[in-house]
Amino acid sequence: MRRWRPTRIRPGWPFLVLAILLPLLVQNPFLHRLLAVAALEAVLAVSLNLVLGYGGLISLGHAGFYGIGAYVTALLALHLGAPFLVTLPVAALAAAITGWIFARPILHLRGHYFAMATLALGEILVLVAYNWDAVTRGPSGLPGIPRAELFGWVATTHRDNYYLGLALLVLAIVVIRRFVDSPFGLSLIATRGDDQAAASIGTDVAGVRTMAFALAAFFAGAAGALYAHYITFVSVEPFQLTHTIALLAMVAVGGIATIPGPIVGAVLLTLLPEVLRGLADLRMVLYGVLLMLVIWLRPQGLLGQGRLFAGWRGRPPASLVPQRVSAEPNAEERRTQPSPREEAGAR
Amino acid sequence: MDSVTIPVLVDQLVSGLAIGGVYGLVALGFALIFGVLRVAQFAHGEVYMLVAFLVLTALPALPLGGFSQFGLVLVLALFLGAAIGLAVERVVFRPLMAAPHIAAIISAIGLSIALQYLAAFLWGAELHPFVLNWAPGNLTLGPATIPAFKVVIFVTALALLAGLQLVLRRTQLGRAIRATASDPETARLMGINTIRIIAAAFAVGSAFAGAAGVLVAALYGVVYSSMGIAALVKGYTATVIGGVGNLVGAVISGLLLGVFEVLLESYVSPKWSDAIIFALLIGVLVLRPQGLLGRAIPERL
Repeated sequence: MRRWRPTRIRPGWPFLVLAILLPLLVQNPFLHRLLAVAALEAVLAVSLNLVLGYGGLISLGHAGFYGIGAYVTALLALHLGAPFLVTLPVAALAAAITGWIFARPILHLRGHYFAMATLALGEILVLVAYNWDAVTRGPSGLPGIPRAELFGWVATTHRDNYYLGLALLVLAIVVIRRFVDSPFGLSLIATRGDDQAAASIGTDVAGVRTMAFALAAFFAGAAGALYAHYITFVSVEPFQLTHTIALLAMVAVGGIATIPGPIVGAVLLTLLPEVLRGLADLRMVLYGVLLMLVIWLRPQGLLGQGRLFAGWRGRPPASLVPQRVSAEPNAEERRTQPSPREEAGAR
Repeated sequence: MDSVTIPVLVDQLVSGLAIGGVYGLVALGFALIFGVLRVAQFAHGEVYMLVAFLVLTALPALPLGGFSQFGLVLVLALFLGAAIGLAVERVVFRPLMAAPHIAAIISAIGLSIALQYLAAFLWGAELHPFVLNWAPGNLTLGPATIPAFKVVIFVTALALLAGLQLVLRRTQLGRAIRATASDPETARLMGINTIRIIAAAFAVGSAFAGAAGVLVAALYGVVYSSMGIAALVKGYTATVIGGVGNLVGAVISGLLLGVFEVLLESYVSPKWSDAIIFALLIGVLVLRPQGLLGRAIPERL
């Protein structure tokens, strides 16, 4: 059986330096705004990838955790005057705890049952935010959240908020990379391939999945806190199913179960609607078509493993998400290479 | 909130069964496609929306009176749905058969976004009135008076389910579909062209989505470009409650969902009815992971 190799990451330092220098070199507030949004989306995509890519679980409620972070921050800042250094960790923990409590009973669910349960959770969170007027002010939202403040420095401009988002992104990448390379991460990847086999060799399937789910929720909640302080206004729109779906697209377009993939996907899909702005009404039509086109040419995502232009007759890397039995005419050709499972059985 | 009287209750039950019939039809198509392909068709709601818009555009060309217009519209919706379904299968799903599930799901999401905004571009994003010439009046059922059209929707949904069951149980094609759903590899070894079976499932499943789109448009009297999202969420919910791959379960849970929703809206709280339904759904999934009506071995037709 082929040994699982941790994804080798090309050194990220040049990219980090570029990410820091870019807004200093280009003095364009519009670009700064896009970068600030893209940084938050990247945090969300990277954290969703932990559940989706490494855990093999389709979560349709990720934007809900983002919403918990944003609403907790807004309420703490507005009613208690809590500073940024308090709201950020509390928001992240609130999302993580919600994720932990919710994950435990549903993690034995598989495939679409799990996806449905997370979709239901996401919808409930949105409906609570929308209908609990006394606390969330319903559809009118919560305005007037103060800007993020760190030791006297206030993040007022788009660029300041971009740097806050970038810092959170770097933290998320470091923590999630460590998690994935740790014994927990290896167990998580084992449960993705075959949860019963993983359980039979002593993996605590529910435990490791719960941990991954809560960690992903933690970073989504932290991103929500930054969002609330950045936009200074919170209402339900950014936390709905459509946002979770956009996050799924970012992870898949960039490359599932890779570290740089979701970041690239988040940046591309945040910039794409702006690039297409000239098309006015047809902008989102082209967005959808381009999404299909990318997946068609590279089903494993832009930075996914496998050869370039693996679409059509391409063979996806066997190490990716569990595959269904293929049904295409050249399946015989594929079977000349034994699957890892057959190999293991033959030994 | 209404007080509970028999006529009101009967009216609400019928309304619930009508909207539940629509959910059931959406779920039926979704479950059929999922059964043979094992991938969620996330653009299923857009087939429903697109057919409703196309029929709306064709309505002025169908100046028939009464029931014949309704019948013709329904047949047209079935055919349009099937045609769109075949195209979707060919463009979105067939090229990705060897790819990971998530690739096909994202591709379907891309199509869903493209179609939704294309409809908004072509017809406008506002609500469009959808009125048929046929107004079947009211039925009197003991003390209650109920709009006959709601009964028609419910009956149509059941008739389509019965027709599908007949095809699945009694014909060569149906046997091939069930074989493909239960084991695609073996089905192919037995000489079944599974590619064509998947296309057939798409045609039939999408035809049902088309019928559901027209029925819901006639029920509420409006068509709009984002109507597919709610339909997908409700159809997906009904599919999962029914036990993925269980077609009869999908329709029954669609009907239950509709009735439950109407009753919650009238007697508990219109604001919280969706939240209660989703909370109950989580409860169902925790207690019965195979779905409320599913058997222990899920994902088979």
